[in-house]
Amino acid sequence: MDADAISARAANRIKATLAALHWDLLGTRVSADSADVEEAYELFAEIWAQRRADGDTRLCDWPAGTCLLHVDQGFFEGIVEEQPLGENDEGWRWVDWDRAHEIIGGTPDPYHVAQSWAVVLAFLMTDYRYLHL
Amino acid sequence: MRMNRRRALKALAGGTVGAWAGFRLPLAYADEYAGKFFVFIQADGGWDPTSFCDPKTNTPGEPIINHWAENGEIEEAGGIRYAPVAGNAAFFRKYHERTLVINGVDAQTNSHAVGVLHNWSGRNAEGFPSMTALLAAHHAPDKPLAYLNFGGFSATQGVTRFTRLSDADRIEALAYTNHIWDDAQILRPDEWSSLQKYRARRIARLNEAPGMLPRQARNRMHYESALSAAATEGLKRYADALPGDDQLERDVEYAYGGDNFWNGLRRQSQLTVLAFRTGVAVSADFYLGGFDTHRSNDPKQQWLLRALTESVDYLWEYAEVHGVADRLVVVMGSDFGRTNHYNAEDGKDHWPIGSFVVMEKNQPWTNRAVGETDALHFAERINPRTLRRDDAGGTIIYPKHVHRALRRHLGLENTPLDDLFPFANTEDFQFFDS
Repeated sequence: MDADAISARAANRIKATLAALHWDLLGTRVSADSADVEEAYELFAEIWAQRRADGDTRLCDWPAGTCLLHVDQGFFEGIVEEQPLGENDEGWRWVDWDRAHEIIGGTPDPYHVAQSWAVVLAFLMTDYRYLHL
Repeated sequence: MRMNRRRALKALAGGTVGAWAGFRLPLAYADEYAGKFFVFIQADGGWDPTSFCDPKTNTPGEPIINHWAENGEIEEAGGIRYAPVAGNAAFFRKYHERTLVINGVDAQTNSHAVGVLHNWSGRNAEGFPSMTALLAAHHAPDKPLAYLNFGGFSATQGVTRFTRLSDADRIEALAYTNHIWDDAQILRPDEWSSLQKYRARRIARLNEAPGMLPRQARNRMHYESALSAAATEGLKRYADALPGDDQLERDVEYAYGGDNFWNGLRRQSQLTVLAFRTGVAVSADFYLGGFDTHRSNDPKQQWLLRALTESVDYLWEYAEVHGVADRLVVVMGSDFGRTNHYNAEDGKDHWPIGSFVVMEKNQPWTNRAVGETDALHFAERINPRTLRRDDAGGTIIYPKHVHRALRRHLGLENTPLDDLFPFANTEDFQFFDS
């Protein structure tokens, strides 16, 4: 994938990953050219086009698009090596949310891939089969 | 003939899935419900009707049945007799014209589990849903929170789903899924819009899959119903109508003899009436626990009965303010009654005979008590047609008789749901005929 278009090679990789996610999240075995994958891929491409059109290259456009840092302790995985922690004189430590928002808000998403995946994951996790099966 | 979402859901609830198989649901559906609203109040633990709506004074030569009767007399409001304790006088004087009391209902058990099951499903074996579930499934299968339950018996047997509700803030989270606080959103508006569009497309495609089992079809329809524009808009109306948490009524606590009791009926009333008004629910089970008074029966029963009647008063007044009182039906009942004598700890133990109280405005069958018990609170045989004592041709009243009559009165008789959960060989009591 580059900044201008989703290449055929990238599209194939995305579809293969979507097929795997349908098994991992929904317990449904589907091929990369199935209706399920095509649907999810179209959504991916639509979000990617939206982000590309508005030109925002940050992962979280906070506060308009807010990352739920405080309810997801795994949010920092793969983004920062250590969680930003505050500490007082008595040694109590806590997550420094202001610093966390700076880090996440400033995290680059230059090709809009991370946000496109975030929306597709939300789509799959509100799928009927994720909720009911 | 085109089948809409409402009819399809009712067909599913009634088990006639074949009638709609392959039908594609409309994505937007708005149905203005103009029927009645139903509140069933479960006085959990076994209330004491002899200190409430089936008052008993003491009989010479028999153990004391009620301490209040050592000095007090039975009082009467309209056609209803009541014990002169707790908040009974204020309640029956104010509401006798919209009240029917059914006394002498035999739960045929001293077990709480069976008593609850019997009184609220109409049958003393597992397998029947609550009437509140049936009413929701029949009258409002497409409402997002059609059946509210605040505790107690809530069996649905698959005809609908209930919503256990206590935290009003959760409604706002459900209604405004993409909002966190103020104007902050999780996904950008265009992302959220795209996600919803693709989700609707996907569930529509899944619903067209051939060979779905009835349970799969029902679940998919409920899923789509919950996400429909009508449901979402309804939830938003409800969320917007709910007052802030500090404006909602708090539980009232009472402590006696080392036991603690909580009355949350006022909050339940607020959440329910607003759900009725905003068109998201049609039935609700209220819950008030603590009636299992094996020790110190009188102070506990009287606090609880006052809590019950004052809360029902609050419910009616709140319903009046919000314009739904004229469509409201209220049913009160319990597991069973309490013994016709006190035990060594001045408590009363389990007794299978209980009562129901049914309330509705502007009805010809109110302002009276039917069913009878003798001086020691044993049930008498009643003629189903005349509702008078009939030792030769009458029958003891069981919960199934009350349920059968309620089903007719509330529009369930001869529906697919009624057929699915039948009361076979059950006498037809005319409780709701004038």
